[in-house]
Amino acid sequence: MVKLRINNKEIIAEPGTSVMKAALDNGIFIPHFCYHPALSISGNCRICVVSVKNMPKPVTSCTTAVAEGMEVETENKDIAAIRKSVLEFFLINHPIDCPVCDQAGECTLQDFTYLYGSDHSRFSEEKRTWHTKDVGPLVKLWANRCVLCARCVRFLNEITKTGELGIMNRGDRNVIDTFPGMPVDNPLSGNIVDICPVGALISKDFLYQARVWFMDFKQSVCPMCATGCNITAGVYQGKIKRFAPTKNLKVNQYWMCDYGRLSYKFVHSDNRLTAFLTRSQAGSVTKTTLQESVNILKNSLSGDTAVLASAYMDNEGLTALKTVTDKYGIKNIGCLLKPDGKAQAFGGGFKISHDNNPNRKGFENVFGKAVLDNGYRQVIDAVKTGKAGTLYVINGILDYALPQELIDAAGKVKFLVVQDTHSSALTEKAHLVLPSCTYAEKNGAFTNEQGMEQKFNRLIDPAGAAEPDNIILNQL
Amino acid sequence: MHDNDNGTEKKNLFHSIYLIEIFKGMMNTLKHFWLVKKFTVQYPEEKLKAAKGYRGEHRLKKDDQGRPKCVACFMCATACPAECIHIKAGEAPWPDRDKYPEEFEIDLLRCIYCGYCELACPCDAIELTETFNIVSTTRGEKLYNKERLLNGK
Ligand code: SF4
Ligand code: SF4
Ligand code: SF4
Ligand code: SF4
Repeated sequence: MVKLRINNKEIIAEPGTSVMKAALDNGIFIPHFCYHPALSISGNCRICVVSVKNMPKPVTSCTTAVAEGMEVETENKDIAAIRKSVLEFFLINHPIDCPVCDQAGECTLQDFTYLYGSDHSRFSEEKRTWHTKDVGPLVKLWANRCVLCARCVRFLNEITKTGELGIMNRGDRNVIDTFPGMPVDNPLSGNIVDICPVGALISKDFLYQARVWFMDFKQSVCPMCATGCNITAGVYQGKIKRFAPTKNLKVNQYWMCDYGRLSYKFVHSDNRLTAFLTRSQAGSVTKTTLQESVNILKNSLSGDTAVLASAYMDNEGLTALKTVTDKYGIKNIGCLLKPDGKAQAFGGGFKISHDNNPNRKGFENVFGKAVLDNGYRQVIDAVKTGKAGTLYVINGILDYALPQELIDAAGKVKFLVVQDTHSSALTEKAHLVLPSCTYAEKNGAFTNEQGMEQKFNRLIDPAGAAEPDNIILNQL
Repeated sequence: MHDNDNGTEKKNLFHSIYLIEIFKGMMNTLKHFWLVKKFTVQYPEEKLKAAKGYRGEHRLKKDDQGRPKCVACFMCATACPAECIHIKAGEAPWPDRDKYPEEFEIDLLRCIYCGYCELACPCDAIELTETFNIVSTTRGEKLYNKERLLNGK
């Protein structure tokens, strides 16, 4: 271990750590564009210069390793003057599009210019201009705004290893572009928008949706696979506008996949269930209330009821369900699972799980492995053979059409109860429909693939009369 | 004479019929009737022009091609203390521009006519005009949409 002082604060760091990392890890901020803790060191932006005692010139902190007894100063008059000159170079060709640039408000170029930059420009020549174009299904490039930090290039080389973007031409004519016929369409492409320190790479999905300073930011967990990426949701006027990853070195490092990034759309889709409904034997539908639905449900639950719960339910819902099944002596319990996908691993250890359910582990913890593995078959058989009088399905799986086998079988029961977030072929048949909240509309927790229980927060108000699963189940 | 209860002096008859005061008052009235310059304006037949810089109802300016100058940057909405500017931004339909306001609405019932929106605008796209006689019979008419702000009707 190496002992050094940064701004007179004693710091202990591992040998080989950069001064930048040692400072950031200890809550001392050094301005930077090109440095990113998950990517290789590039050292091209030159704004991270610091003074080190007994070194003749200021050094870039991202490329300088810590040494015993080193004394570093991150802010002084000389450093401020250097940063001012560096920023002047950045702004020579920068369009200063801030009024129409989506990055404004979370742009490091804006922030550093505010802190160190000059209030006027001495550059009177023509600015060079570059393309504005789509570089992939999710990403649009404003090459004029690029500060050539190469974070995007390094991400695509080191993490996804797909290398779609490169810096073309030389010197003053350096520009970010795709290789011909190679759009940025890998499953992690959205992350280059997050790591781009300026507004050069912009998410087409979020484009002009909201100014960032008007948004509320809340922490949640992505429900689209068992990795359970930690996410920051941007909410504006009661609607989720974007998801971005939250750093969690044990789960998702700094990243999330594009499918999860766009998954907020399922929460806002048109076919959400918003009311408690009853359907008579003749097929006429009537609106009802939570209280009445609970009463109907209480009367129809018994020992020969079959229950299908899903691995999209949170731990709170599953625990409440366990209490209900114990109370009524229900034996036929099964697990609805979204079919597995392909596991994908990326550089730096980020993984997209093969398991498309956020809470399979949680289900196993509550109901046991036997129910998880064999329960579904047992329930389907009980329903098909007419052993189950009532079938109670608690679904909530996002972006999934229920299996035909289940829909056919469900037609055979005398009383079908469906608790779901979205309308489906099953809710069309159900005698009692209970609208439930998605993960975005309630507080709860999922247990991810690694067995870590992760809390998610309520981001928005529930759709219509929808209630969290556990609120409904606790009343039974 | 003695002081009455509230301490005022009791007047004699000549004083207490106020003849001199009434006459003085009449003279003053007659002076204003004929001799002094009159300020009353017969509104609405006759209209005054607001002073320069008066902050009345808003308008959105147009560029030389008749398009709204506004780039939907939300600076006005950010500066507005009454939170009465509602903008929906979108991609501009013109190749030379990035962003434009799909919808732009000002709730003049909430507006306090401070003029901060005009000061905040980086594109000189919004201004408070000198139009002050803005009356309406419904609340809805006080929600000015983009059309109304651009064309004044
Ligand atoms: S990248 Fe930053 S500085 Fe440049 S136009 Fe966008 S917000 Fe402004
Ligand atoms: S596009 Fe963004 S991330 Fe890529 S080099 Fe330019 S500024 Fe850096
Ligand atoms: S005048 Fe003031 S209150 Fe009215 S819209 Fe402008 S900023 Fe808002
Ligand atoms: S500040 Fe000006 S350009 Fe920006 S949104 Fe308001 S009117 Fe439009």
